[in-house]
Amino acid sequence: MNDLAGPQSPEELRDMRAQVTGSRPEELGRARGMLLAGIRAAQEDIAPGRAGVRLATLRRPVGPPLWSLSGRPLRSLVLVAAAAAVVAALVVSLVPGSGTAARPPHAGQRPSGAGSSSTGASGTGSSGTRTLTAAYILGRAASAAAAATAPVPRPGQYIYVSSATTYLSVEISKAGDQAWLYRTSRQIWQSVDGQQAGLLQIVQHPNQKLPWGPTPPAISGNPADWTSLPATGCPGAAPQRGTYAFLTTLPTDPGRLRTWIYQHPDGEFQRDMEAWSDIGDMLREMLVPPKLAAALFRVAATIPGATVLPDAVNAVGQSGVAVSRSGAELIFNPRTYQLIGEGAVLTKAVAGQGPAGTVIASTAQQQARVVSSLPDIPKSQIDPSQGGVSC
Amino acid sequence: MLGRDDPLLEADSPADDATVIARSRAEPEAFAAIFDRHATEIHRYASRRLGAALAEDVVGETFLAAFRVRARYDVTYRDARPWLFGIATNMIGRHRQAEVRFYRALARTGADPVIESPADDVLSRVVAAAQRRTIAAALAGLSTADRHTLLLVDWAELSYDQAAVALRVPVGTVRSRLNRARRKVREALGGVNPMLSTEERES
Repeated sequence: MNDLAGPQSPEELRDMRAQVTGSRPEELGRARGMLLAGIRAAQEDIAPGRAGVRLATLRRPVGPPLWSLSGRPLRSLVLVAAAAAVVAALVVSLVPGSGTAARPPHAGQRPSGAGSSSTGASGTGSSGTRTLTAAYILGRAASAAAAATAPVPRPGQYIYVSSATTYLSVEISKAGDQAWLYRTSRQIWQSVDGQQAGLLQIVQHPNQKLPWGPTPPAISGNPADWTSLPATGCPGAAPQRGTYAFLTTLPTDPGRLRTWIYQHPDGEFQRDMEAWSDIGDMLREMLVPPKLAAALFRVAATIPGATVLPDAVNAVGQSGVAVSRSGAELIFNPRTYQLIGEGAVLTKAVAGQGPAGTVIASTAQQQARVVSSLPDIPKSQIDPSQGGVSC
Repeated sequence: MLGRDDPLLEADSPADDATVIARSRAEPEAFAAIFDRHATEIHRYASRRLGAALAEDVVGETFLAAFRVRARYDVTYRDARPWLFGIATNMIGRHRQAEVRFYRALARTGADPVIESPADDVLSRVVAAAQRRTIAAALAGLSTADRHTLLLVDWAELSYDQAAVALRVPVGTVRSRLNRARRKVREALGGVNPMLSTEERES
Protein backbone atom coordinates (compact mmCIF):
# COMPACT_ATOMS: atom_id res chain seq x y z
CA MET A 1 0.00 0.00 0.00
CA ASN A 2 2.70 2.43 0.95
CA ASP A 3 5.15 3.86 -1.48
CA LEU A 4 8.03 1.44 -1.72
CA ALA A 5 10.58 4.02 -2.81
CA GLY A 6 13.23 4.77 -0.26
CA PRO A 7 14.34 2.86 2.78
CA GLN A 8 11.78 1.07 4.92
CA SER A 9 11.81 1.50 8.64
CA PRO A 10 13.56 -1.21 10.57
CA GLU A 11 11.30 -3.68 12.27
CA GLU A 12 12.71 -2.62 15.62
CA LEU A 13 11.19 0.80 15.15
CA ARG A 14 7.82 -0.49 14.06
CA ASP A 15 7.77 -2.85 17.03
CA MET A 16 8.81 -0.26 19.57
CA ARG A 17 6.10 0.10 22.22
CA ALA A 18 3.85 -2.02 20.03
CA GLN A 19 2.53 -3.69 23.15
CA VAL A 20 0.90 -0.40 24.17
CA THR A 21 -2.87 -0.68 23.90
CA GLY A 22 -5.51 1.99 23.61
CA SER A 23 -8.33 2.15 26.11
CA ARG A 24 -11.89 1.49 25.05
CA PRO A 25 -14.10 4.58 24.63
CA GLU A 26 -16.02 3.88 27.81
CA GLU A 27 -12.75 3.75 29.75
CA LEU A 28 -11.75 7.20 28.54
CA GLY A 29 -14.16 9.06 30.82
CA ARG A 30 -12.05 12.18 31.22
CA ALA A 31 -11.48 12.55 27.49
CA ARG A 32 -15.10 11.89 26.70
CA GLY A 33 -16.15 14.42 29.34
CA MET A 34 -14.12 17.08 27.54
CA LEU A 35 -15.90 16.33 24.30
CA LEU A 36 -19.35 16.18 25.90
CA ALA A 37 -18.78 19.55 27.54
CA GLY A 38 -18.03 20.95 24.10
CA ILE A 39 -21.10 19.32 22.64
CA ARG A 40 -23.26 20.73 25.37
CA ALA A 41 -21.89 24.21 24.84
CA ALA A 42 -22.73 23.90 21.14
CA GLN A 43 -26.25 22.80 21.99
CA GLU A 44 -26.60 25.87 24.14
CA ASP A 45 -25.65 27.93 21.10
CA ILE A 46 -28.32 26.22 19.05
CA ALA A 47 -30.98 26.43 21.76
CA PRO A 48 -29.89 29.18 24.15
CA GLY A 49 -30.94 28.99 27.75
CA ARG A 50 -31.39 25.24 27.80
CA ALA A 51 -29.57 23.26 30.40
CA GLY A 52 -30.05 20.03 28.60
CA VAL A 53 -30.19 18.17 25.38
CA ARG A 54 -32.65 19.50 22.89
CA LEU A 55 -35.11 16.65 22.89
CA ALA A 56 -37.27 17.75 20.02
CA THR A 57 -40.70 18.59 21.31
CA LEU A 58 -39.97 16.85 24.58
CA ARG A 59 -37.09 19.10 25.41
CA ARG A 60 -36.68 19.31 29.11
CA PRO A 61 -36.73 22.84 30.47
CA VAL A 62 -34.72 22.16 33.61
CA GLY A 63 -32.09 19.81 34.80
CA PRO A 64 -28.88 18.30 33.67
CA PRO A 65 -28.74 16.72 30.26
CA LEU A 66 -29.85 13.15 30.02
CA TRP A 67 -26.29 12.32 29.24
CA SER A 68 -24.40 13.71 32.17
CA LEU A 69 -20.74 14.37 32.63
CA SER A 70 -20.64 12.10 35.64
CA GLY A 71 -19.46 9.26 33.48
CA ARG A 72 -22.10 6.64 33.92
CA PRO A 73 -22.14 4.78 30.66
CA LEU A 74 -25.86 4.49 30.24
CA ARG A 75 -26.45 8.13 30.89
CA SER A 76 -23.77 9.33 28.58
CA LEU A 77 -23.14 8.21 25.07
CA VAL A 78 -26.13 5.99 24.70
CA LEU A 79 -28.36 8.89 25.55
CA VAL A 80 -26.50 11.32 23.43
CA ALA A 81 -27.47 9.02 20.66
CA ALA A 82 -31.01 8.96 21.94
CA ALA A 83 -31.19 12.69 21.73
CA ALA A 84 -29.76 12.63 18.25
CA ALA A 85 -32.32 10.12 17.18
CA VAL A 86 -35.22 12.11 18.53
CA VAL A 87 -34.12 15.28 16.85
CA ALA A 88 -33.44 13.45 13.64
CA ALA A 89 -36.88 11.95 13.79
CA LEU A 90 -38.49 15.29 14.12
CA VAL A 91 -36.48 16.76 11.29
CA VAL A 92 -37.75 13.94 9.15
CA SER A 93 -41.26 14.56 10.28
CA LEU A 94 -41.11 18.18 9.23
CA VAL A 95 -40.46 17.32 5.63
CA PRO A 96 -43.53 18.55 3.77
CA GLY A 97 -45.89 15.84 2.76
CA SER A 98 -44.66 13.26 5.23
CA GLY A 99 -47.40 11.10 6.63
CA THR A 100 -49.12 11.53 9.93
CA ALA A 101 -48.12 9.28 12.76
CA ALA A 102 -50.05 6.19 13.62
CA ARG A 103 -50.33 6.08 17.38
CA PRO A 104 -49.17 2.86 18.97
CA PRO A 105 -51.40 1.33 21.60
CA HIS A 106 -48.60 1.14 24.13
CA ALA A 107 -45.21 2.72 24.67
CA GLY A 108 -42.83 1.20 22.20
CA GLN A 109 -44.74 -2.03 21.96
CA ARG A 110 -46.25 -1.56 18.62
CA PRO A 111 -45.73 -4.81 16.79
CA SER A 112 -46.08 -3.47 13.29
CA GLY A 113 -42.86 -3.11 11.35
CA ALA A 114 -41.70 -6.35 12.88
CA GLY A 115 -44.18 -8.19 10.70
CA SER A 116 -47.63 -8.02 12.20
CA SER A 117 -49.69 -4.88 12.10
CA SER A 118 -52.23 -5.99 14.65
CA THR A 119 -53.75 -3.16 16.61
CA GLY A 120 -56.46 -5.10 18.31
CA ALA A 121 -54.69 -5.79 21.59
CA SER A 122 -55.55 -2.50 23.19
CA GLY A 123 -58.72 -1.80 21.34
CA THR A 124 -57.77 0.95 18.98
CA GLY A 125 -61.10 1.35 17.31
CA SER A 126 -60.42 4.87 16.22
CA SER A 127 -62.48 4.80 13.09
CA GLY A 128 -65.73 6.66 13.41
CA THR A 129 -64.49 8.90 16.18
CA ARG A 130 -62.66 11.32 13.94
CA THR A 131 -65.26 14.01 14.33
CA LEU A 132 -63.31 15.51 17.22
CA THR A 133 -60.94 18.25 16.24
CA ALA A 134 -57.73 19.22 17.99
CA ALA A 135 -59.19 22.67 18.58
CA TYR A 136 -62.17 21.12 20.35
CA ILE A 137 -59.97 18.97 22.62
CA LEU A 138 -57.75 21.93 23.44
CA GLY A 139 -60.79 24.09 24.11
CA ARG A 140 -62.07 21.54 26.62
CA ALA A 141 -58.61 21.41 28.20
CA ALA A 142 -58.59 25.21 28.46
CA SER A 143 -61.97 25.25 30.17
CA ALA A 144 -60.88 22.55 32.60
CA ALA A 145 -57.68 24.41 33.39
CA ALA A 146 -59.47 27.71 33.94
CA ALA A 147 -61.87 26.06 36.38
CA ALA A 148 -59.10 24.41 38.37
CA THR A 149 -57.54 25.80 41.49
CA ALA A 150 -53.84 25.72 42.16
CA PRO A 151 -51.75 26.85 45.09
CA VAL A 152 -49.84 30.08 44.62
CA PRO A 153 -46.24 29.67 45.74
CA ARG A 154 -44.26 32.33 47.55
CA PRO A 155 -40.71 33.34 46.67
CA GLY A 156 -38.28 30.98 48.35
CA GLN A 157 -40.55 27.99 47.90
CA TYR A 158 -40.25 25.17 45.40
CA ILE A 159 -42.44 23.57 42.76
CA TYR A 160 -42.38 19.82 43.24
CA VAL A 161 -43.36 17.57 40.32
CA SER A 162 -43.15 13.81 40.00
CA SER A 163 -43.34 12.10 36.65
CA ALA A 164 -42.53 8.95 34.74
CA THR A 165 -40.66 9.02 31.47
CA THR A 166 -39.82 6.60 28.71
CA TYR A 167 -37.37 7.58 26.01
CA LEU A 168 -36.05 5.70 23.05
CA SER A 169 -32.39 5.04 23.65
CA VAL A 170 -30.21 4.43 20.62
CA GLU A 171 -26.74 2.99 20.69
CA ILE A 172 -24.67 3.85 17.66
CA SER A 173 -22.37 1.03 16.69
CA LYS A 174 -20.47 -0.15 13.68
CA ALA A 175 -22.90 -3.03 13.28
CA GLY A 176 -25.80 -0.57 12.96
CA ASP A 177 -27.84 1.42 15.42
CA GLN A 178 -29.79 -0.45 18.06
CA ALA A 179 -32.65 0.86 20.14
CA TRP A 180 -34.52 0.07 23.31
CA LEU A 181 -36.66 1.99 25.79
CA TYR A 182 -35.02 3.78 28.70
CA ARG A 183 -37.42 4.29 31.61
CA THR A 184 -37.21 6.48 34.67
CA SER A 185 -39.19 7.99 37.48
CA ARG A 186 -38.36 11.61 38.16
CA GLN A 187 -38.91 13.90 41.12
CA ILE A 188 -37.96 17.52 40.66
CA TRP A 189 -37.85 20.46 43.04
CA GLN A 190 -37.50 23.79 41.27
CA SER A 191 -36.96 27.10 42.95
CA VAL A 192 -40.01 29.30 42.30
CA ASP A 193 -37.90 32.25 41.16
CA GLY A 194 -34.80 30.32 40.19
CA GLN A 195 -32.74 32.04 42.86
CA GLN A 196 -31.96 28.87 44.78
CA ALA A 197 -30.56 25.59 43.64
CA GLY A 198 -33.12 22.89 43.01
CA LEU A 199 -32.95 19.14 43.16
CA LEU A 200 -33.70 16.29 40.81
CA GLN A 201 -33.96 12.60 41.50
CA ILE A 202 -33.89 10.13 38.64
CA VAL A 203 -34.70 6.50 39.38
CA GLN A 204 -33.85 4.21 36.51
CA HIS A 205 -36.10 1.29 35.73
CA PRO A 206 -35.01 -1.72 33.72
CA ASN A 207 -34.64 -1.00 30.04
CA GLN A 208 -37.41 -2.37 27.91
CA LYS A 209 -36.87 -4.38 24.78
CA LEU A 210 -38.49 -3.34 21.52
CA PRO A 211 -40.04 -6.12 19.46
CA TRP A 212 -37.57 -5.47 16.65
CA GLY A 213 -34.63 -4.50 18.85
CA PRO A 214 -31.89 -6.26 20.80
CA THR A 215 -32.06 -7.33 24.42
CA PRO A 216 -31.19 -4.09 26.20
CA PRO A 217 -28.30 -3.80 28.64
CA ALA A 218 -28.91 -4.06 32.37
CA ILE A 219 -28.86 -0.80 34.33
CA SER A 220 -25.33 0.10 35.24
CA GLY A 221 -24.25 2.41 38.00
CA ASN A 222 -26.48 3.73 40.71
CA PRO A 223 -30.14 3.28 39.77
CA ALA A 224 -31.24 6.26 41.88
CA ASP A 225 -29.38 9.50 41.29
CA TRP A 226 -29.73 12.86 42.97
CA THR A 227 -28.56 15.90 41.08
CA SER A 228 -28.41 19.47 42.22
CA LEU A 229 -30.01 21.93 39.78
CA PRO A 230 -28.20 25.24 39.51
CA ALA A 231 -29.82 28.52 40.43
CA THR A 232 -30.74 30.47 37.30
CA GLY A 233 -31.68 33.85 38.65
CA CYS A 234 -30.38 36.67 40.82
CA PRO A 235 -32.23 38.91 43.30
CA GLY A 236 -33.69 41.93 41.56
CA ALA A 237 -33.22 40.50 38.08
CA ALA A 238 -36.06 39.37 35.82
CA PRO A 239 -36.82 35.65 36.32
CA GLN A 240 -35.43 33.28 33.72
CA ARG A 241 -37.54 31.32 31.28
CA GLY A 242 -38.31 27.95 32.77
CA THR A 243 -39.19 29.23 36.23
CA TYR A 244 -42.63 29.60 37.78
CA ALA A 245 -41.91 33.28 38.38
CA PHE A 246 -41.32 33.75 34.66
CA LEU A 247 -44.68 32.21 33.83
CA THR A 248 -46.40 34.79 36.03
CA THR A 249 -45.02 37.54 33.80
CA LEU A 250 -46.75 36.20 30.66
CA PRO A 251 -50.08 37.55 29.40
CA THR A 252 -53.09 35.32 30.09
CA ASP A 253 -55.11 36.75 27.23
CA PRO A 254 -54.84 34.11 24.47
CA GLY A 255 -54.34 36.65 21.66
CA ARG A 256 -51.57 38.50 23.46
CA LEU A 257 -50.01 35.25 24.63
CA ARG A 258 -50.03 33.92 21.07
CA THR A 259 -48.24 37.03 19.86
CA TRP A 260 -45.67 36.70 22.63
CA ILE A 261 -45.05 33.00 21.91
CA TYR A 262 -44.52 33.57 18.20
CA GLN A 263 -42.23 36.51 18.88
CA HIS A 264 -40.11 34.60 21.42
CA PRO A 265 -39.26 31.23 19.89
CA ASP A 266 -37.13 29.14 22.20
CA GLY A 267 -35.65 26.95 19.49
CA GLU A 268 -35.20 26.62 15.79
CA PHE A 269 -38.15 24.66 14.48
CA GLN A 270 -40.39 26.06 11.81
CA ARG A 271 -42.52 28.74 13.52
CA ASP A 272 -45.77 26.83 14.07
CA MET A 273 -43.86 23.77 15.26
CA GLU A 274 -41.70 25.92 17.50
CA ALA A 275 -44.80 27.47 19.08
CA TRP A 276 -46.29 24.01 19.63
CA SER A 277 -43.02 22.80 21.09
CA ASP A 278 -42.58 25.84 23.33
CA ILE A 279 -46.06 25.40 24.77
CA GLY A 280 -45.13 21.83 25.67
CA ASP A 281 -41.96 23.11 27.31
CA MET A 282 -43.90 25.55 29.46
CA LEU A 283 -46.33 22.88 30.64
CA ARG A 284 -43.73 20.22 31.42
CA GLU A 285 -42.69 19.46 35.01
CA MET A 286 -44.36 22.64 36.19
CA LEU A 287 -47.29 23.88 38.23
CA VAL A 288 -48.73 26.27 35.67
CA PRO A 289 -51.03 29.04 36.96
CA PRO A 290 -54.56 28.05 35.89
CA LYS A 291 -55.30 31.14 33.80
CA LEU A 292 -52.03 30.79 31.96
CA ALA A 293 -52.55 27.07 31.38
CA ALA A 294 -55.96 27.84 29.89
CA ALA A 295 -54.44 30.49 27.63
CA LEU A 296 -51.65 28.13 26.52
CA PHE A 297 -54.22 25.53 25.45
CA ARG A 298 -56.24 28.19 23.61
CA VAL A 299 -53.10 29.30 21.76
CA ALA A 300 -52.28 25.68 20.90
CA ALA A 301 -55.77 25.37 19.45
CA THR A 302 -54.92 28.09 16.93
CA ILE A 303 -51.78 26.37 15.64
CA PRO A 304 -52.49 24.70 12.30
CA GLY A 305 -51.63 21.09 11.60
CA ALA A 306 -52.66 19.34 14.82
CA THR A 307 -54.63 16.10 14.75
CA VAL A 308 -56.54 14.08 17.34
CA LEU A 309 -55.48 10.68 18.67
CA PRO A 310 -58.52 9.27 20.49
CA ASP A 311 -56.68 6.32 22.03
CA ALA A 312 -53.40 7.68 23.35
CA VAL A 313 -51.58 6.22 26.36
CA ASN A 314 -49.20 8.00 28.72
CA ALA A 315 -46.01 6.62 30.23
CA VAL A 316 -47.79 4.84 33.07
CA GLY A 317 -50.44 3.27 30.85
CA GLN A 318 -53.30 5.68 31.49
CA SER A 319 -55.37 6.05 28.38
CA GLY A 320 -56.33 9.44 27.14
CA VAL A 321 -57.10 11.58 24.19
CA ALA A 322 -54.19 13.37 22.56
CA VAL A 323 -53.60 16.23 20.20
CA SER A 324 -50.59 15.67 17.99
CA ARG A 325 -48.51 17.78 15.67
CA SER A 326 -45.69 16.14 13.69
CA GLY A 327 -45.58 13.31 16.17
CA ALA A 328 -45.50 15.55 19.27
CA GLU A 329 -48.48 14.87 21.50
CA LEU A 330 -50.22 16.40 24.50
CA ILE A 331 -52.28 13.72 26.25
CA PHE A 332 -55.41 14.56 28.26
CA ASN A 333 -57.66 12.63 30.58
CA PRO A 334 -60.67 11.88 28.33
CA ARG A 335 -63.20 12.82 31.05
CA THR A 336 -61.58 15.68 32.98
CA TYR A 337 -59.34 17.02 30.17
CA GLN A 338 -56.47 17.41 32.59
CA LEU A 339 -53.03 17.10 31.01
CA ILE A 340 -51.71 13.65 31.96
CA GLY A 341 -48.55 13.47 29.87
CA GLU A 342 -46.81 13.90 26.57
CA GLY A 343 -45.75 11.62 23.79
CA ALA A 344 -43.55 11.69 20.72
CA VAL A 345 -43.49 9.13 17.94
CA LEU A 346 -41.49 8.59 14.80
CA THR A 347 -43.47 9.83 11.83
CA LYS A 348 -41.29 7.78 9.53
CA ALA A 349 -39.18 4.64 9.82
CA VAL A 350 -35.63 5.33 10.98
CA ALA A 351 -32.84 2.78 10.60
CA GLY A 352 -31.95 1.14 13.88
CA GLN A 353 -34.82 2.81 15.72
CA GLY A 354 -38.06 1.49 14.41
CA PRO A 355 -40.95 1.92 12.06
CA ALA A 356 -43.24 4.93 11.88
CA GLY A 357 -45.28 5.12 15.05
CA THR A 358 -42.45 3.98 17.31
CA VAL A 359 -42.70 5.80 20.61
CA ILE A 360 -39.56 7.85 21.07
CA ALA A 361 -40.73 9.69 24.15
CA SER A 362 -43.57 9.20 26.58
CA THR A 363 -44.18 10.94 29.89
CA ALA A 364 -46.74 10.99 32.66
CA GLN A 365 -47.00 13.93 35.01
CA GLN A 366 -48.14 12.55 38.35
CA GLN A 367 -48.03 15.08 41.17
CA ALA A 368 -47.41 18.82 41.19
CA ARG A 369 -47.42 20.84 44.39
CA VAL A 370 -45.74 23.66 46.28
CA VAL A 371 -43.25 22.77 48.99
CA SER A 372 -41.23 24.98 51.30
CA SER A 373 -37.96 23.11 51.39
CA LEU A 374 -35.84 20.59 49.61
CA PRO A 375 -35.74 17.03 50.96
CA ASP A 376 -32.92 16.31 53.36
CA ILE A 377 -30.49 14.36 51.21
CA PRO A 378 -26.88 13.92 52.35
CA LYS A 379 -24.60 16.07 50.23
CA SER A 380 -22.41 13.09 49.45
CA GLN A 381 -25.27 11.52 47.55
CA ILE A 382 -25.91 14.52 45.28
CA ASP A 383 -24.14 15.12 42.01
CA PRO A 384 -23.08 18.73 41.83
CA SER A 385 -24.80 20.86 39.24
CA GLN A 386 -23.05 22.18 36.18
CA GLY A 387 -23.12 25.86 35.44
CA GLY A 388 -25.65 28.16 36.99
CA VAL A 389 -25.33 31.80 37.91
CA SER A 390 -23.30 33.60 40.50
CA CYS A 391 -24.89 36.81 41.67
CA MET B 1 -35.76 -3.25 5.81
CA LEU B 2 -35.98 -0.32 8.13
CA GLY B 3 -34.59 2.99 7.07
CA ARG B 4 -33.91 2.20 3.46
CA ASP B 5 -35.45 5.53 2.59
CA ASP B 6 -34.03 7.39 5.54
CA PRO B 7 -32.59 10.54 3.99
CA LEU B 8 -30.28 11.08 6.94
CA LEU B 9 -28.28 7.95 6.30
CA GLU B 10 -26.26 6.74 3.39
CA ALA B 11 -27.42 3.60 1.70
CA ASP B 12 -24.54 1.62 3.18
CA SER B 13 -25.34 1.47 6.84
CA PRO B 14 -23.75 2.27 9.22
CA ALA B 15 -23.18 5.87 8.21
CA ASP B 16 -19.56 6.59 7.41
CA ASP B 17 -17.58 9.21 9.29
CA ALA B 18 -18.26 11.97 6.78
CA THR B 19 -22.01 11.43 7.07
CA VAL B 20 -21.90 11.46 10.86
CA ILE B 21 -19.76 14.59 10.94
CA ALA B 22 -22.06 16.32 8.47
CA ARG B 23 -25.04 15.39 10.61
CA SER B 24 -23.30 16.65 13.74
CA ARG B 25 -23.25 20.18 12.35
CA ALA B 26 -26.96 20.49 13.07
CA GLU B 27 -27.08 17.83 15.79
CA PRO B 28 -23.93 18.24 17.85
CA GLU B 29 -24.58 15.12 19.95
CA ALA B 30 -24.12 12.95 16.88
CA PHE B 31 -20.40 13.66 17.09
CA ALA B 32 -20.14 11.30 20.06
CA ALA B 33 -20.21 8.44 17.56
CA ILE B 34 -16.92 9.68 16.09
CA PHE B 35 -15.39 9.41 19.54
CA ASP B 36 -16.73 5.89 19.95
CA ARG B 37 -15.27 4.80 16.66
CA HIS B 38 -11.80 6.27 16.87
CA ALA B 39 -10.90 7.15 20.47
CA THR B 40 -9.19 3.82 21.08
CA GLU B 41 -6.70 4.04 18.24
CA ILE B 42 -5.98 7.70 18.88
CA HIS B 43 -5.40 6.78 22.53
CA ARG B 44 -3.06 3.97 21.58
CA TYR B 45 -1.06 6.22 19.29
CA ALA B 46 -0.81 9.01 21.84
CA SER B 47 0.11 6.47 24.54
CA ARG B 48 2.90 5.14 22.38
CA ARG B 49 4.38 8.57 22.02
CA LEU B 50 3.68 10.10 25.42
CA GLY B 51 2.56 7.40 27.85
CA ALA B 52 -0.92 6.72 29.10
CA ALA B 53 -1.04 9.60 31.57
CA LEU B 54 -0.70 12.35 28.98
CA ALA B 55 -2.46 10.37 26.28
CA GLU B 56 -5.94 10.67 27.71
CA ASP B 57 -5.63 14.46 27.76
CA VAL B 58 -4.47 14.33 24.17
CA VAL B 59 -7.52 12.25 23.24
CA GLY B 60 -9.88 14.69 24.94
CA GLU B 61 -8.16 17.71 23.37
CA THR B 62 -8.16 16.04 19.97
CA PHE B 63 -11.85 15.22 19.85
CA LEU B 64 -12.88 18.53 21.37
CA ALA B 65 -10.80 20.39 18.78
CA ALA B 66 -12.15 18.18 16.01
CA PHE B 67 -15.71 18.83 17.18
CA ARG B 68 -15.14 22.57 17.14
CA VAL B 69 -13.84 22.61 13.58
CA ARG B 70 -16.27 19.97 12.26
CA ALA B 71 -17.86 22.60 9.99
CA ARG B 72 -14.63 22.69 8.02
CA TYR B 73 -14.33 18.94 7.61
CA ASP B 74 -14.09 17.93 3.96
CA VAL B 75 -16.86 15.38 3.62
CA THR B 76 -15.33 13.93 0.48
CA TYR B 77 -13.03 12.08 2.92
CA ARG B 78 -15.29 9.29 4.12
CA ASP B 79 -12.80 8.09 6.74
CA ALA B 80 -12.00 10.63 9.46
CA ARG B 81 -8.82 8.89 10.65
CA PRO B 82 -6.29 11.05 8.77
CA TRP B 83 -8.04 14.20 9.97
CA LEU B 84 -8.17 12.98 13.56
CA PHE B 85 -4.56 11.80 13.54
CA GLY B 86 -3.55 15.18 12.17
CA ILE B 87 -5.26 16.98 15.04
CA ALA B 88 -3.83 14.47 17.50
CA THR B 89 -0.38 15.14 16.06
CA ASN B 90 -0.76 18.84 16.86
CA MET B 91 -1.83 17.99 20.40
CA ILE B 92 1.07 15.56 20.84
CA GLY B 93 3.36 18.27 19.49
CA ARG B 94 2.47 20.46 22.44
CA HIS B 95 4.17 17.85 24.62
CA ARG B 96 7.28 17.74 22.47
CA GLN B 97 9.65 18.30 25.37
CA ALA B 98 8.10 15.51 27.42
CA GLU B 99 8.20 13.14 24.46
CA VAL B 100 11.88 13.79 23.78
CA ARG B 101 12.68 13.55 27.49
CA PHE B 102 11.13 10.08 27.55
CA TYR B 103 13.16 8.94 24.54
CA ARG B 104 16.33 10.26 26.13
CA ALA B 105 15.58 8.56 29.41
CA LEU B 106 15.03 5.29 27.57
CA ALA B 107 18.24 5.71 25.59
CA ARG B 108 20.17 6.48 28.75
CA THR B 109 18.80 3.87 31.11
CA GLY B 110 17.17 1.17 28.97
CA ALA B 111 13.98 1.61 30.99
CA ASP B 112 11.10 3.05 29.00
CA PRO B 113 9.13 5.59 31.03
CA VAL B 114 6.19 5.05 28.68
CA ILE B 115 5.89 1.34 29.41
CA GLU B 116 5.78 -0.75 32.50
CA SER B 117 8.54 -3.25 31.94
CA PRO B 118 7.13 -6.50 30.59
CA ALA B 119 8.29 -9.71 32.20
CA ASP B 120 10.48 -10.91 29.35
CA ASP B 121 13.32 -13.28 29.97
CA VAL B 122 16.55 -11.59 30.89
CA LEU B 123 18.47 -12.22 27.67
CA SER B 124 15.86 -10.94 25.24
CA ARG B 125 15.28 -7.98 27.45
CA VAL B 126 18.93 -7.10 27.30
CA VAL B 127 19.10 -7.50 23.53
CA ALA B 128 15.83 -5.65 22.97
CA ALA B 129 16.94 -3.00 25.35
CA ALA B 130 20.06 -2.24 23.36
CA GLN B 131 18.10 -1.74 20.16
CA ARG B 132 15.38 0.14 21.91
CA ARG B 133 17.89 2.52 23.45
CA THR B 134 19.41 3.12 20.06
CA ILE B 135 16.11 3.81 18.38
CA ALA B 136 14.96 6.03 21.19
CA ALA B 137 18.09 8.07 20.84
CA ALA B 138 17.50 8.35 17.11
CA LEU B 139 13.89 9.44 17.62
CA ALA B 140 15.00 12.05 20.10
CA GLY B 141 17.38 13.42 17.51
CA LEU B 142 14.83 13.85 14.73
CA SER B 143 13.19 17.13 13.93
CA THR B 144 9.61 17.34 15.21
CA ALA B 145 8.20 17.35 11.67
CA ASP B 146 10.22 14.29 10.68
CA ARG B 147 9.23 12.45 13.85
CA HIS B 148 5.53 13.21 13.32
CA THR B 149 5.72 11.92 9.78
CA LEU B 150 7.70 8.78 10.61
CA LEU B 151 5.48 7.73 13.49
CA LEU B 152 2.19 8.46 11.70
CA VAL B 153 3.30 5.97 9.07
CA ASP B 154 5.11 3.40 11.20
CA TRP B 155 3.04 3.51 14.39
CA ALA B 156 -0.37 4.87 13.37
CA GLU B 157 -0.06 2.93 10.09
CA LEU B 158 -1.36 5.72 7.90
CA SER B 159 -0.56 5.50 4.20
CA TYR B 160 1.63 8.21 2.68
CA ASP B 161 -1.48 9.86 1.27
CA GLN B 162 -3.24 9.76 4.62
CA ALA B 163 -0.19 11.15 6.39
CA ALA B 164 -0.12 13.97 3.84
CA VAL B 165 -3.75 14.77 4.66
CA ALA B 166 -3.07 14.56 8.38
CA LEU B 167 -0.06 16.85 8.23
CA ARG B 168 -1.45 19.06 5.46
CA VAL B 169 1.68 18.76 3.37
CA PRO B 170 2.16 17.39 -0.14
CA VAL B 171 2.75 13.68 -0.36
CA GLY B 172 6.20 14.39 -1.76
CA THR B 173 7.07 16.10 1.49
CA VAL B 174 5.90 13.04 3.41
CA ARG B 175 8.17 10.89 1.26
CA SER B 176 11.26 13.06 1.71
CA ARG B 177 10.72 13.39 5.46
CA LEU B 178 10.32 9.65 5.75
CA ASN B 179 13.44 8.97 3.75
CA ARG B 180 15.47 11.25 5.95
CA ALA B 181 14.02 9.95 9.21
CA ARG B 182 14.35 6.30 8.28
CA ARG B 183 17.91 6.76 7.11
CA LYS B 184 18.83 8.24 10.48
CA VAL B 185 17.23 5.39 12.37
CA ARG B 186 18.93 2.80 10.16
CA GLU B 187 22.28 4.45 10.53
CA ALA B 188 21.87 4.50 14.26
CA LEU B 189 21.04 0.82 14.37
CA GLY B 190 23.71 -0.27 11.92
CA GLY B 191 26.55 1.82 13.24
CA VAL B 192 28.21 2.13 16.59
CA ASN B 193 25.25 3.86 18.17
CA PRO B 194 26.88 7.27 18.10
CA MET B 195 23.76 8.92 19.45
CA LEU B 196 23.55 6.50 22.31
CA SER B 197 27.13 7.14 23.29
CA THR B 198 26.50 10.85 22.96
CA GLU B 199 23.62 10.51 25.35
CA GLU B 200 25.76 8.51 27.74
CA ARG B 201 28.51 11.04 27.66
CA GLU B 202 26.03 13.75 28.44
CA SER B 203 24.62 12.00 31.43
